[in-house]
Amino acid sequence: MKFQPTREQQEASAQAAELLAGQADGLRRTGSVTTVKGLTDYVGTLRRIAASSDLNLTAKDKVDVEQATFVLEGHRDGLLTADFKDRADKIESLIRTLNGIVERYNASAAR
Amino acid sequence: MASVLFAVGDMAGPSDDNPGSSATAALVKSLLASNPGSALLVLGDNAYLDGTTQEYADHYAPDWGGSAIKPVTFACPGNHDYHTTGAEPYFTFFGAQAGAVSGDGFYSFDRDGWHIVSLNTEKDFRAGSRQLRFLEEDLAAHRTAPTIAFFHRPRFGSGGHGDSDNPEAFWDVLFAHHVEIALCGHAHHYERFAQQDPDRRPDRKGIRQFIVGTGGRSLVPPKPPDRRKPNSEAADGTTFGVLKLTLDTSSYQWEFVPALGSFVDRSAGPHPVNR
Repeated sequence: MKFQPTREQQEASAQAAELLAGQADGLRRTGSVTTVKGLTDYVGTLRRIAASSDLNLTAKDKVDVEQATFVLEGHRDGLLTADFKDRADKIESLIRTLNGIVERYNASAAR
Repeated sequence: MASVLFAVGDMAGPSDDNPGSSATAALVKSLLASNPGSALLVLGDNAYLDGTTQEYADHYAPDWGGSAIKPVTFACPGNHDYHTTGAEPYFTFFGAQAGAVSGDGFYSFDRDGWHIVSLNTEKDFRAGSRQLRFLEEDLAAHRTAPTIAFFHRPRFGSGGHGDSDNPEAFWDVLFAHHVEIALCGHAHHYERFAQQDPDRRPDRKGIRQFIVGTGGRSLVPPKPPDRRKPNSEAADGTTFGVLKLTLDTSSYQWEFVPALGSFVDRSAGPHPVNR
């Protein structure tokens, strides 16, 4: 579908991409291959959303964004457990904004 | 006379990743047979990985789609169902059992004095949306009936997904209308919460939320007890099974019935409704 992300969604996508890229890099350095491939796909999709105000969003792109939110849920909960509440709240805000992309795709793709 | 409902989500798929589906379906068949007039609420992500027509046919239908279960099933969609465009295979498979208006994913019905509402956490879930207007009007029209809402993503959770914002507006409306019970899947564990309000404050007239993502998909343990979310009263990630609710017009009881594993959780006695 044709998709015009909001500025907030673009910024959230850019920040989420950085977080996941950092995680992918760390995992690569510690021997992961399969997980790195998955995360790299999510990063690519997020960066594409961040870079364009008008793009074609596929079902796979939507799932990439949703999967990225699930990874970020782990970041959020881990930081919360370690008492980094402010940063956990910021990641929660990213998740909420990215979920808006998923919701818009689901609503637009519905018959 | 008491009414019995069963609830479970996150069930069928390739056996490597969904090792509990067949055993849980067999348990459900047995429970439905031994509780005449009972029904099953499925809590979404019924056919992994993508809710395709083929996956419903190959994985969901053989165990869960036969004459013993499907005719008494009421559904709500999960995020994996929306891996397909508009969750069309989900709506096609369940037909009217996913609501009268195909594609919406929200509807309600009455059962033995209780009101049951199915909601869609995957789209149209924000305040002011068509779904929220439906929910407001539907609950206003059923003020006196004790009520269960079931939807895929839990508002609160101590498992892999943690809390979900998508049902936030649902909770505001459900709480304002004194809804008794919220049933959810999504996280692959069992968890029961004490009655609480949308801001997690304990409230004896609040909503009791259950997570029952134990229908077959590989389980993910919840956090240890000292790290669980506020008001979490019981949680387990070792046992596949279903939630049994025994509903009277003035009270309800719950029991987590194991299919594979030994965890059980049951209410000590009847719990009064919020009316």
